[in-house]
This record gives sequence, structure tokens and C-alpha cells, in this order.
Amino acid sequence: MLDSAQSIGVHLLCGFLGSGKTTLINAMIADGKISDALFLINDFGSMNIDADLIESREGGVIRLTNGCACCGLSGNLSSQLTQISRWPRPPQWLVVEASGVAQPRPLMQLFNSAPGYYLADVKLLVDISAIGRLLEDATVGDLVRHQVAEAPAMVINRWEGLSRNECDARRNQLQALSPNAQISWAAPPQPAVITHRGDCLGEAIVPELKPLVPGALVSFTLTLPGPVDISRLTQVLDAATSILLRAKGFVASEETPSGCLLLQWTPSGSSVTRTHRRHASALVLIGKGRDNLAYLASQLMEYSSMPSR
Amino acid sequence: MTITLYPARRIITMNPSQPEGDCLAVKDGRVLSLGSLEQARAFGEVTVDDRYADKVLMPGFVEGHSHALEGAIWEYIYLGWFDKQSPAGQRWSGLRDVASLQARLAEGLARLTPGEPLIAWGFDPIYFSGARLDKGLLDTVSDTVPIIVMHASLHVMTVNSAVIEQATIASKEIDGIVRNAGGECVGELQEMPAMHLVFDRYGIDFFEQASQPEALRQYARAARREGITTITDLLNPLSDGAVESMRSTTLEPSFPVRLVPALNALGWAPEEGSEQLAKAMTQGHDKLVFGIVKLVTDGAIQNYTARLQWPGYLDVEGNGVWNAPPQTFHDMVLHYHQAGFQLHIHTNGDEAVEVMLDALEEALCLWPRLNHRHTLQHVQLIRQDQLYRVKQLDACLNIFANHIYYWGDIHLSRTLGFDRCQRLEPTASANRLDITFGIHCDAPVTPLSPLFTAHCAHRRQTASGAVLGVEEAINRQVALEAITLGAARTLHLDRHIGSLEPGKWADVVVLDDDPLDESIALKDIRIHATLLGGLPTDA
Repeated sequence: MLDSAQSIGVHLLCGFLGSGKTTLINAMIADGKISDALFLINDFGSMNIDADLIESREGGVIRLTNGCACCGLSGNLSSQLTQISRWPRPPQWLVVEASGVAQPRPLMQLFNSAPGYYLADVKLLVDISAIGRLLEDATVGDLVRHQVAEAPAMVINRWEGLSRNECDARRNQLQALSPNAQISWAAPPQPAVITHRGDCLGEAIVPELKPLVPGALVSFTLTLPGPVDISRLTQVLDAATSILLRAKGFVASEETPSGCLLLQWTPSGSSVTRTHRRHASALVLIGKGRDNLAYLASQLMEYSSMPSR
Repeated sequence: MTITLYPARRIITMNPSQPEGDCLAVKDGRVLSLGSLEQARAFGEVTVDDRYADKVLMPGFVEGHSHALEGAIWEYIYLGWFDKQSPAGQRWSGLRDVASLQARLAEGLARLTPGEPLIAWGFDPIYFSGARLDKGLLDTVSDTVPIIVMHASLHVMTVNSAVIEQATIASKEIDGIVRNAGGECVGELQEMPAMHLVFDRYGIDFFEQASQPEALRQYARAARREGITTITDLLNPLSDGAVESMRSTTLEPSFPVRLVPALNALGWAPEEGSEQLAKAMTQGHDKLVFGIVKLVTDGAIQNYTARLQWPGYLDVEGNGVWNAPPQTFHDMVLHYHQAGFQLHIHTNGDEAVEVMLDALEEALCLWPRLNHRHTLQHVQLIRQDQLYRVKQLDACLNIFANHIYYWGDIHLSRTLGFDRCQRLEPTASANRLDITFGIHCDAPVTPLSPLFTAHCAHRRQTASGAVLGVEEAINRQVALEAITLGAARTLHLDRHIGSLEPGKWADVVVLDDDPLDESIALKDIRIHATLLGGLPTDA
């Protein structure tokens, strides 16, 4: 830490998959309190940066209007650190989202020693609602236990759904694994910060569906003739949770002129995958009541088709 | 275009309808006929080229799992235990003691450009159980010129005093800097945080170099010499620069092989990775085929980093490492499967196999897809029940047969023990279950040579001469199919390559000896030439 005036200060965020690292980074970007920072992100695709904050995208780097930037953690961290430190104007801060299996100790040692960097801060995020199961897991239990044992500081997330007693018991379990670690509780989630990927897609139209009485379980296949607006399509599906259990299929979209989109919808969320192959456009609806699904299909046709040009 | 006809002593086609050919007739780069001269003439005017009249022709070999790093790493000094040949054709003898290791470094030092560090590779400490390579042994060669010895695993290096000083290693607090009882650095640096000090100081990036045109040319040269006509680069960054470099280099008429690079899935978020791959596919051509995705799940058995099921390793406690949380692998399999790509999944240990079979089964239940050809790579320790699941899921295997020779003795005595060595690289079981499979070398981990790989699967002999798991040996015909049509099927390229069949690309290996002649070991069969698209590659 001799020449920290010129060196890049590193904020290291560790934690197993689902521990809240991405949510925290999204919040750090949104609140804008950190300036001149490069966010080095393990799961770049899950980033949900407000379009207003983005100044430009080039070569895998997203530049933000507040002077910060984001890029993905490459497969070769050593070479990436060398390159960043040799940028003509290196950032003042580097916020590193470690891989879910990374151990904190070697990374702390790396940033304490790597030429051009110093470790400013390290946190292990813990999803307390999942940690009990993870510590017992046959394939990853050892790894998670080591992460906890090596972390000098832990931030506990996702405690809202647990009772006070459960929280205390699990906190004590963590402290026993890492007696010297500082343990703190994350602030309760702000609705504006935690967003599902689907929520920020396109304009909201939220159609009013008529009241539906669930019937027998059936499936219904719908062919959507032209390109669809995928965000509108999912909004219509979201409005039908009283009768719809599952929807999946390929749809044509102007986003992928040479392929199509694969939609998988469940009541708890949906995913959209771009595919490079052409498939016949067909959506399978599984739900309660044939008439209900036929009605839903008509609403999908009406609301999700792209206007013709 | 005229028809060129190559008469030969014997033509082995790998086409069950016409297992042997008479003459090879080629038109427009494709196989036209394998019948007689008269039968070829029925198609038009024929030019006879009898340069291979006393040779044996086979479909060109397909190496389904190796790395272009092979073409870059020979710029450095080779310090491995086994004899090896460089892409330029130079034979390097294996080094069995410290004195010969020092002698080879000293030779390299004499040729070194002043101001450069001396870099060596391939040193495998598991074979040097007595002496530990340290800075003292390297300082004897030079204590002023920096010397860096990469170990075979690529996870450890040993450096001399000059490096320790120039990269200011002694003052750093990193677990991977090995020290003696007195706290002094001994020169060994383990894992990335410690090795980064050296990479950063000297600007070393092996994987970046592997995408450069000259490394690709060297790689292709090495492949050609071993009779390979289609080769993979099974962990490519697929950056825009790498794609452009591969495109321009493979378009050179003299580039003697077809190249199949795989996207390194862990280097990308899934959405971006599939975008990048779809973009790369628009840059492909007959000699450069994109579309496969590589997922590296666990480590390697000989490094004790493969994920094993009970009873774990023979001589050490603890299990191997995951490169990402198993859930991430599930998510990636689901994503790339749904996006329509083919997955090649590195699974060395049986626990890794189990986790990835679960992921494949989940993806196939949610989204059935026929003929997906997802391939588990290495599968050194795959169990019988897992092989049966592979069959049920219609997945393919690419089996690391060379391991039997290079680390079989180590697996028997140190890492796995007797019983698991009986099932190591179970090619016969894969064949019995009618699973589509290839066999591979994983160069530069072991040398490029499909015939040697076939020899390993056929004879199952270790370096010391012991035979491991004779029940898993396959016969010559099956072994030869595994290095041609089997490997081509795992790459989903059997429509074009893998057998000599009318309509397929005329990719051919020309052999001096008959590989079905039981009196000559497969590894001793000499390669005479190759043809790519019907043209001799030495032209």
C-alpha cells in the first residue's frame, strides 16, 4: 500500500451464487456514491443498468454517465489486471465481483500484492436464508465453509423472511466458523433496487383480463403469425397467473431477425433466450380451462403482435 | 473441374457400406468414387496421380480435444519427462534428472535474446518424487538472467533469484509463495495470486499468444505431421481479435487443417456468449467451423483437482475443485442447450460427471432436443451407471485415452489405486453400449498423435509397461473409428468428414503401413502425407 495515491483501490465482493453480489453492485451503480470506479463483474449478463446511466458501450466495456465503467471478469484475471493497470487513465477504484466459488483469502492476497493495486475493502455476502442448506450440501458444502472461514467481514442478506431466533442461530453458526469476522446485517431491500429482469423491459401496457374461473388442466398451442413484442407478450402472460401454469415456445422477434426467441414462463418469472436457429413460431400454454386458454390466446394475439410497418 | 484419381495399396473408408476402396477419385474437393478406375471414368475424364500407389489411405484423423496453445508454447524450452516433438519437427528428449534439466536450460540461455527472461514449460513434479526444483537449482544455470519454469499443470511455476528480486516477491504475503523454515522464498510459486507477480512483471500471457496467426500455423503444422485433417481448439476466448486472427489464418491456402474452436463459456455471461458465438458463426467457412461451447467444470486427477466421488483420492485427503458453482453449470447447460448450440463439457472426476449428467437430464426434460450431440470430455473415471445414463440421454463421449500411458502408473500407485484403474478411460464399455465416442490427447497436456491415442486405447499400457484394465481395451478397427468418424460425430461434422464416402470432403491421411496389420503397433505406423479437400497439403 506504499503508493496508494497512484494505485487502484480494490473493493472485493465475495459470496456464493445467489448471495446478493449483483444486487449490491446494481445498487452501488444506481446510487452513484462511488466515482471513477471500474466494476469488474463475474455475471455480466445479470447486470441491470438503467439505460439513462449508460453513456456508451464498446469492446465489452459499458461507460456510465457518472464516470464509472463496467466490464465482465474474463477467464484470465491475471492478464486483465495487468491490462487495466496499464490503461492511459486507470480508474481510481476497482469493484470486483468474485466468482461464486472464489475463496476470499487468495484474492485478498492478490490485490494486496499485485503491482498497481491495493485492497481497500473486502466483504463476503451471505444469503442467510440459504446458508444452512449450502453448508450441508454434498458438492459445495466444503467450499462454502472455507469461504466463510476466510472472510474478515460478512454482510448478511435476505433475513427479512426469517424469524429473529432463526437469524440469531444462523449468525452464531457463521461466527463459530469464523470467530474473528465482523458480521453486519444488510439494509432491508429497497423495492427500487431489487428488480426482476423482466420488469424493466419496454413500456407497460398491462391488459385487463376478464375474470377467469379455473377449469381442468389442459394444454393449448398457439401460433403467432408475425414478430411479437416480447415484453408485451410476457405482460399478458403475467396478467393470467390465476389460470396459467406454464408457457413455453419459440416466437419470432425483430430483435433476432435470423433466429428467434425462446420463452419460458412460470408464475414466478420468465426467461427469454435468443436462439440462432429458425424454428416454427409456436407457444404452448399449460393451464386451467380450455376456454380460458383460448381467451388468453386471443389476448396474446391482440396485444403482443408488432404493429405492421 | 477434372477428376483426380489416387490408386493405393489399400483404402480403409470407415463407411460400413463400402469398408474398403480400390482407388480414391476426387472432384471439387470431395470424394467422388472409391471404386475402380473404370468406375471413376463413368463420371468423366480422369487424371491418374499414382504417387500414393503403394500407400494405405484412410479418412484424415480428427483430434476432438486439443488446444492451440500447443502452437505457442514451443517458443519456450521444453522440460517434460517424456520425449516430445515440436511443431517444427524437432525432437526433444524427456528429462529424467535435475542435471539434464539444468543442461537444457543452459543451452536455452546461450541462445536467449539479451534482456528477455528464459521461459520453460512442461516440468511435471509428480515424476520427480526425490528432488524438488527450487531457485538454487535454477541459480546454478544463472542467477542474473530471470528464469521461469512453468509446471505441466500450469498452476505452479519455479523461478530463480533474479525473478524473485525483479518481481519483488520476497516481501509479498501470499500463501502460494513457498518458503523454507527460515521464511526464505525457495522459488516455487503456486496458483494465480503468486504467479501474477511474474506474469505482470514480464508481460506473459500464454493464452493470448495461442490466438496469434503464427501460433495457429505452428499448431496446424504439428497436426498435419500426425495425419490430422480436422483439429479443435477446445477452449478459445472467441474475442473479436481471436475470431479475426483464426479467420484470416485458416483462409490461407497453405493452412493444412480444418479448425474447430470452442467458446470458453466461463469467459462470458451466457447471453453474451451465445451472441458472440452466433456472430462468430457468420465468419466461418469450410476450414473454420464455429458452433461448439466448452464448459470446464473440475480440474485434473494428476493435480488432485478433479472432483471425485467416494472414496476420493488414494494418497491425499480432500476433494478437487469446481471452476464455478454447480448451479452455474446447470444454468449454462440450460442456456446453451436452449439456444441451439452444442456443449462440450470437461468432466474428469466421477462427481463432475454426475453433476453434469444431472444438468443435461434437466435441460433435456425441460426442452427435448433430438440429435443434440452434447459431449462429455475426458470422463476418465466415468462409472458404468453413468455410462448407461449417457446412452439414455443420447450424449456423446470423448475419452482421454492417452492418460493411461502418461499417468497410468501414477493413478495406480498414488491417485486412484487398483480398482478404479480397471475402469479408467472405459472405451470398450462405451463401445459395448453403442455410445458415440472419440478419443483424444488434450495437447499440449500430452502429445498430438491420434495413432498413439488409438494405440493407448487398444493396448492400455502405461509408461512402465503395465497393462491397466484390459477389459476396457478396444480392437484396432474400433480404435481407428474413434480417431476418425467417432471424433467427427462428437463435433457434429460427420456429414462432411470422418469417413471416405462419396460426397464428403476428401480429407485423407496417407500411411506407409497398414494400421490393420497386427504385426505393427499402431503408434509405429508412419504418416506419409495428408490431403485436405483432395489436395496434398505438402504441395
